[in-house]
Amino acid sequence: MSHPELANRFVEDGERAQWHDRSLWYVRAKRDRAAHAIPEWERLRELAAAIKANVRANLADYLERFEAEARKHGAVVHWAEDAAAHNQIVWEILRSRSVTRVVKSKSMLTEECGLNPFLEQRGLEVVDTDLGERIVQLRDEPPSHIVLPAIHLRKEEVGELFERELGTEPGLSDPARLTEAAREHLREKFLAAQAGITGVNFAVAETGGIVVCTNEGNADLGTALPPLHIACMGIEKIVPRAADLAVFTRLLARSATGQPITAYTSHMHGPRAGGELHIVIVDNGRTGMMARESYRQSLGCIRCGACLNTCPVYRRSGGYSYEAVIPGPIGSTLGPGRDPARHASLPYACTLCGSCADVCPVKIDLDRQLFHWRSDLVTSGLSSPRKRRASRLASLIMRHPRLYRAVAKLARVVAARAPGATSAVLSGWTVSRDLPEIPQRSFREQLEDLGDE
Amino acid sequence: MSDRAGILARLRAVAVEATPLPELAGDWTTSTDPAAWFGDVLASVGGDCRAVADHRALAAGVEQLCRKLAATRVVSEVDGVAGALGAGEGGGSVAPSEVQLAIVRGEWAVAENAAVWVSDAMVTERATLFLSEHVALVVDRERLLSNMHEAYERIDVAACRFGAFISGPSKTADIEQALVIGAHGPRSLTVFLVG
Ligand code: SF4
Repeated sequence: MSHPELANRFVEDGERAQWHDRSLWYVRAKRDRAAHAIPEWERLRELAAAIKANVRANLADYLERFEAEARKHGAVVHWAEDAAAHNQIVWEILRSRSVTRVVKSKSMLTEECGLNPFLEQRGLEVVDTDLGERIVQLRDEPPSHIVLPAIHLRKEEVGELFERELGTEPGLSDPARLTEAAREHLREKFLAAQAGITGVNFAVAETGGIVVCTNEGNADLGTALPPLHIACMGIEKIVPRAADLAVFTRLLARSATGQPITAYTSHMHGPRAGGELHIVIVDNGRTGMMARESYRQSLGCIRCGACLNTCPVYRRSGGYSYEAVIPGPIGSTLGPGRDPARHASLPYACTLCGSCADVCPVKIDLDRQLFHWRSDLVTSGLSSPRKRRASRLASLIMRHPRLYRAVAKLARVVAARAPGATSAVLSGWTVSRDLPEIPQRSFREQLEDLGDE
Repeated sequence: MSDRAGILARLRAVAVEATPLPELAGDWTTSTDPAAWFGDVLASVGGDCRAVADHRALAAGVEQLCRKLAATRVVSEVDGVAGALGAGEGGGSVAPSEVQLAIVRGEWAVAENAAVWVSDAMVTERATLFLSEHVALVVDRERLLSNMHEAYERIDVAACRFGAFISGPSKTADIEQALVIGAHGPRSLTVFLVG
């Protein structure tokens, strides 16, 4: 289904849609306060963008360096061309060690690869341990946001879910008590797990170390208890130097939730004593993205979610309306990069306001990419016929000043005599808002009047 | 072609404009009173900072904390603190999942984000840091820095298998954005600044 169709469903429950909008704006406001508290914020963003540009230009070298250093520390490094190869590698590691119980901390990559269902089909118990992720996992849903997976749910819904799944008392909706129930439930899972799977926030080329950031401490519990740790990373997670981490750790949590840093920023160099560390490096379409110059920058994404929180379309349409692993502005450029036909409506889920690019800590040109996608989709015949007709008509009018003036005049006359008519033409846009009043005289006419005076 | 060779070949086949790795040296924000800054930020992330003059004051502070938390199963990895309390030495006698309060030395503290660097070298069992109900970190005041750039300049992150910046207790806001302290890990985090 297209984004407008799915968004329509989301806004049917007007009260929920407004609540969703407000919740995310609250996070956005926290991000603003945190960013403004740092005088060198813009300098940090520039540095982050420059480091990521350098990484793109030298990625093959950095990956080889990372691999060599990681091996020196005793990690086993695997390479996976695509999602299927990634899942197979993880499964082989687990199977050969007879692992049946796995705890996982948040990783958008394993979400992208569909690792959970793959392992579950093979009889493993895979428990997502980030609270939000656990909530959506128990509901058999994907995350609706990359940092706040259950942002679309009310506390009462979580209460009902926990009553059903964890046996909490009926009617419980206090976030503190619900969190406590989840803590107890997950503590058991941690203590019983035979392996921990995590994502990777940053992989340091010069030291061969990986960095994982969480607030709950779930990645640390998941890797400190079981003897086997599998860390899955996309090829783009590389930073060249340990010192670069200063730039990224200063930006990440402030951009994501307005915190000065995540509660836990853990650096791992090799396995813990007596344990095993496997690092799976995954391509799954990323080298293809690298080859497309207009979209290359999106490989720099550090998955902070700031562009989602600020996006007027995401806030009002919800994560599921994108039907993509990653929603929001960054998802709208990554989606068509992966499968243009399937995600053709996403670059249009954008007002081109540019707020995403303004908040992005690595300065990805998101709005420009989404604009660029539209022309690519038109050229390749993938945009909807209605949009193509409308664009052709607009282009015709814009290119002929006389025609433009005539049409504008007609619109003003119609708007004055029959206010409903313009709304009918604009259909969807005026369902929940009115057009601003259209002045009776055009700018040009008003200017001429002034000239006469 | 192996997956590895394929990935590297595809990357090398793309000509990406070369850009230099930027210099990180900069005029980063510092403070003349980092201890006050650290304390304020730590409070804002749900932690508690106690300044103590010396090791004797530290022992008294820890004792007070134990009373406040009604903690009897205490593990200390800080010299001179455990003995005074009769607590388990070096984490030996109490299983990590049973620990009520763990006292661990932090090597560096960063004021801008209240993060304390703790590494494998400071704990017998890594899990202690995350399984204990409460954690207290002990840092020398002279090891208090202003910002993360200073921290990464001084810390050799590759020297230990595990090292973490810990900023406040474990927390979540995954249910309706309501902040809840004590998600999976410690429910409180106290930092003793010594000196
Ligand atoms: S594109 Fe930028 S703002 Fe959006 S999630 Fe990635 S890093 Fe954050």
